Amino acid sequence: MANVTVTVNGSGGNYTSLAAAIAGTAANLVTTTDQLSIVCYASATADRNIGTTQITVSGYTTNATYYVHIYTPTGTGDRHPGWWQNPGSETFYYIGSLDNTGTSIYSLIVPQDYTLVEGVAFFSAYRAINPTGTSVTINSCLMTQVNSNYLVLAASGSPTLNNCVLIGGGSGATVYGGGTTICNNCTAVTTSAAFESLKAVNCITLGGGTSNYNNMTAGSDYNASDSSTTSGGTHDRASQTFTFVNSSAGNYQLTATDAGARGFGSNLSSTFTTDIAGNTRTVPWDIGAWKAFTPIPASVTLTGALISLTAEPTTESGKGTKTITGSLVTSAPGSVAGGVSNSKTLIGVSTTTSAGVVTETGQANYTLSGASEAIGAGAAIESAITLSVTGASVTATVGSVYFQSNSAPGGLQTLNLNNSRPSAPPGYVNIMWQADPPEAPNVVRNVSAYVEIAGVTSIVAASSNYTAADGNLVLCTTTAGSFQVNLPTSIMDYTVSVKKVSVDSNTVTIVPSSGQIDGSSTLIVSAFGSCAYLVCDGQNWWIV
Amino acid sequence: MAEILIKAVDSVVTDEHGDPVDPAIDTAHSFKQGHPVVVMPDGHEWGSDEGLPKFYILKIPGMDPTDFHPYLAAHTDTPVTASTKPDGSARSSTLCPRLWRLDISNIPADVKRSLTTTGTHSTTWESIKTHIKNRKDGSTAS
Repeated sequence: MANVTVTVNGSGGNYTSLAAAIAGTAANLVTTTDQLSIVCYASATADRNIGTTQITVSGYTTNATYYVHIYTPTGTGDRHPGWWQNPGSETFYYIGSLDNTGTSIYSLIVPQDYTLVEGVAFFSAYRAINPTGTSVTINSCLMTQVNSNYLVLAASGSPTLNNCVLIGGGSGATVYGGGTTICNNCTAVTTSAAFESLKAVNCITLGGGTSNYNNMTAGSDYNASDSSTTSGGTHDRASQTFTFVNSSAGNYQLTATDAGARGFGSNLSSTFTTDIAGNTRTVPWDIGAWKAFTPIPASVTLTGALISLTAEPTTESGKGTKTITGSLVTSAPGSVAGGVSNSKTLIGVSTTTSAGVVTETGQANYTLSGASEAIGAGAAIESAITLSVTGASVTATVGSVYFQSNSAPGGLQTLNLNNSRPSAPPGYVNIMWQADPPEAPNVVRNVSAYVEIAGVTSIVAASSNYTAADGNLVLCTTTAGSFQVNLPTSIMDYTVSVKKVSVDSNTVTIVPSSGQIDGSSTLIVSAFGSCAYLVCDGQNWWIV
Repeated sequence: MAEILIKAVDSVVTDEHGDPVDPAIDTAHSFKQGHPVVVMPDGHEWGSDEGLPKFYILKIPGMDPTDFHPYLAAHTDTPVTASTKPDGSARSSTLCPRLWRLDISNIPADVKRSLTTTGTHSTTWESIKTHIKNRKDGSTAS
């Protein structure tokens, strides 16, 4: 058995179009005992306009072991991020068929049995994909049509769609399944029918009104809809209001506060464990193609006499690792690969990242240390991370941080703490780095951060009774039941923060070793995301 | 100029034991010699496997690539129409990946020699179109 891999790229690869790759590799994979991978890169721009033809995956002999795997690599900018950022001008790989004038023309037809299509985006005039083969699996695909028709039409075959975002134009089901199609954790958006003749589990349907579900197959359950119709499952959620990160821009990731689909899904981890963007799903599962955006505190450390945060033309969503070390380090503009844990470390006498825009969400660990840390101009937005800043005279630990810069590279001059900035959220202090670049004297530009000042020195997780120590931030998961957090001995200036990070009805009871908390014997934290920051005066504890 | 990638050898579908399958199935799913696969604009940088022994590249100066798109259509048994229903009532099935085919066996000797030895050949639409045959009705390209 061999793993045979061919590439589809604009230059330097085996093929320059997916159609040619299929025509050039068609073979009996069973007798040659080959598992064929066709890797599609963003540089293969020929596939962005396939004209009036259809790409057909056929000509192979396959089985469950020796199959065809068509996919885009992750972490390289070749795979879509889960939504269209600049429709028609994307930089990731996609199959575009806008020149197709036939309403029944597909971008991709898959009569080939045992084909796995993964991470491919489709920008179609009418129909995106026609999976007619046996055991065709479509994972983490993003499909959009600009006209009205079926988006996925599987009148024959037995395809399975996992983690797909399906944006239909109406007039025909977004997915027509022929009775044998399975949709798991898909998000279907339409102005007409969403799902018809298929089994759906953990799916969101939007915009189809009473046609969100039609003739659903037995076993459909755990689906959420914005209309009163259901797929027939006992755990279905009808007439829901969803809160997405940015649905108007096509980003249907649930937010951390969504109450329509977040945490209401069935655990399908025996089939797959991630969402459309590769984020690891956690119990309870969320409904839809996306795992809900969940701010998970991590840590960021900046150490140095002079530190500035920055900009670079990159987007980090969720997870990634970046380490920059050296006496003079410049990180060129570009993307940062995603990874299991998100970590960025910059160490050096002088560390500079170049200009651009940074948007980071999700888990992140940042460490910057050195005599002088200068991160160049642009704009940076970072959220849902925890930041620790250590410098000549500054130490802070935070729950979230927002950085923004319009400064040109270089010229970092001052670091200010300013808690009077009107836009700083309550409980936060604004950390501002002011730049007076030499090329533009007296033109002060700012890099600023809102940093929540807290005496947190360590972050611990608890899911049962726990006795906290001074400086603990206790992240409480109460999915297994309510429990209590015992405060340490009441000593002046001791601090303990307790935050509930799970979505359930259980509670965390904070119990002092002596004295009271704001005049009460205990303090109960019950809501997801609630955090109590407690400071001791030597006898009693106070909420601040 | 358009550059057309043409299959140089037959692909053949066999079963799990390597034995032949129903010829109709093989024809429906296999690119055969002479089938045009894709068309690209002049100067396209082809991939390392987009040439001999798998493919020929036919260069046609003065031709807009989009003008060749009709010759990349599949041969289906029922015209695909807007009224196609998911219940299968008017659905088409593919008889062959391509309706049109460059008739390699009957192209001029110099063209064939050029394609089989160098993998590429530059020609004109006027001189090559009569060798591009319609599988369904035997007509030639126009």
